[in-house]
Amino acid sequence: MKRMFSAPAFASTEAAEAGSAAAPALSPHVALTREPPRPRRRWVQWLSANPQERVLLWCAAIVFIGVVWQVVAVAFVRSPLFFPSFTDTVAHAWQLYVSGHSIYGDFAQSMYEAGVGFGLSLTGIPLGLLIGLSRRLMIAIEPVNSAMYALPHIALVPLAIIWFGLGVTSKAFIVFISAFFLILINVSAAVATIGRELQDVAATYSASRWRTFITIILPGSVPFIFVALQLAIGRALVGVVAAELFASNKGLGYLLGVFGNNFETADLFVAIATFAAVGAILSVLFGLIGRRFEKWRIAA
Amino acid sequence: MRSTAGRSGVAEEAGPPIAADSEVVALDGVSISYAHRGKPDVEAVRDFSLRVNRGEVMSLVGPSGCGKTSLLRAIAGLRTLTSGRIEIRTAAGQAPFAVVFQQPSLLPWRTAIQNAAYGIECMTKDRKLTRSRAAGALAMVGLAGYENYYPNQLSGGMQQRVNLARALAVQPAVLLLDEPFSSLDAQLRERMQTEFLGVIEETNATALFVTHQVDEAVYLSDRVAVMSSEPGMLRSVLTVDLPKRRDARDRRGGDFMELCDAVAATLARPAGSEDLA
Ligand SMILES: Nc1ncnc2c1ncn2[C@@H]1O[C@H](COP(=O)(O)OP(=O)(O)O)[C@@H](O)[C@H]1O
Ligand SMILES: [Mg+2]
Repeated sequence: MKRMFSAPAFASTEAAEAGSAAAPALSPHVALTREPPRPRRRWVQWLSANPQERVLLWCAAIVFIGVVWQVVAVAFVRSPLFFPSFTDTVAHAWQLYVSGHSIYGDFAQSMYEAGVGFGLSLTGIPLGLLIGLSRRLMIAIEPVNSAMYALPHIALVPLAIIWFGLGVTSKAFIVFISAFFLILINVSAAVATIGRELQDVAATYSASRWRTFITIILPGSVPFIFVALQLAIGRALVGVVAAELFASNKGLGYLLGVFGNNFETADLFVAIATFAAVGAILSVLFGLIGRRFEKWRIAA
Repeated sequence: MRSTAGRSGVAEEAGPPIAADSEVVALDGVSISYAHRGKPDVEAVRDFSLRVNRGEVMSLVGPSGCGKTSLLRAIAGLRTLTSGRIEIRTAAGQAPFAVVFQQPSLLPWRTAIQNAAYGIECMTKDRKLTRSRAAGALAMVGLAGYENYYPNQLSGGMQQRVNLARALAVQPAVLLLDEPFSSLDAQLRERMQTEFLGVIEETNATALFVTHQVDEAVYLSDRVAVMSSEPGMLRSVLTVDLPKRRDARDRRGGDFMELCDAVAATLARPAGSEDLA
């Protein structure tokens, strides 16, 4: 099949060449004498590459940082109490996570608190959609929203403990407050800024308010919702750490305090790295999902 | 059957119909003003009366800012009138109008056919009818085979075709078009204009076509309504005395040039020289 196809193609090239000899002025080969584009360097290809290569690149970066870290710790600082080396930290992580199993309960506790608080803060999505629909409501909640958004949520920790005690609830509450208003503000603003243009389209076809909401406002808000969730993840983790640091007897934040007080710096590093890893993984996850909806963004 | 599209700002009672049997759109003494905070209202359109006949393409030309879009939006019920009446004559169950906006204004999360179906969806629950009408409209604008493409996979011209298909699919009493080709490059614009003529011939549609380009107005329409600006008033309505069936060659002809000159001259007349105030 392939050969059958290529044979006449070959013949026609020859014919063209023969023709070009007769009439050189219009030779079709002139256009092809331009240099072919140089193949791109491998690492450039990597940067724009598929998921596996992306992961490889990330691993390379992590290894690089590990090596620099190790060199700085061993050759320059030389004080494990002040700045434990990379291998030290990995060893402690191994002990905390694999051989000792001592950190899991705390990890689970923190994730549970963050999960409950974050889950509740998702009510900010429907509420934000609702508020964004009404200009009056938008204006009415402006002061509350701005205050709650700008307030350092750590300031609420003592209050949360008075109200909800030292257990899970007070932490979940702080997480909720941290994430909820951020989601509410972003989602309601997204709705309010969805172009008049598409709503006019709906109006000229006499679409009901409900249909306009379902077909235009809701899908139009989706990219903004994912951006808000991505930001809220970071806020939620800050909330958990702050609340646990202040008063608790379990959780990664609690461990941070214990490790710090006991100058167990390598363990401290492990706890910090755990937060960093959880934050990064969730943020990348939401980012990846959000990117699928990026093309839903209505062009201005 | 009649339906009053625009609402009169003064009197709500409908009164006797103003559109004759052969007329699809009737505008009577329409005025539109915009409120500006702390300043007196600005009158964008004043005492504008016009009739569009069934099966006719009427162009509305005028300088930028003379109130063409305001008028079109008023007919489409997107603006209230300060005074006057607008009437659109529809068949039973027919949508009174469909708007082809200046920008494609497509839903980015919908494919071409889903976008084309948007208007009919709002009228009927019949999925099969919706699909077949949308597919038919897409084919009519030359997008057969592109049904499942998303707007961001289509060129600007193709997006504008989908925009047109969405309006055609509802088979409205009158098509309202607001400079639909103005954002396209000159070559593509000419091609789309000729294709538009083909669509009009095929569907026998009635259309009100807003443009600021004289040659486009003459090429596409049976009559050209010329507006003056500040405030927007109807200056004159010129009949395009060319065969209904036209193609790109006709626009190089002497008759065509003469008609364009006539429209341009009317546009250029000093303010206050309205024929039909
Ligand atoms: N939303 C608006 N608010 C205030 N003034 C407006 C608005 N839209 C249009 N105008 C004014 O009305 C006049 C007519 O505008 P428009 O109908 O867009 O003209 P055209 O479509 O002919 O260019 C202009 O002077 C413009 O400034
Ligand atoms: Mg305009």
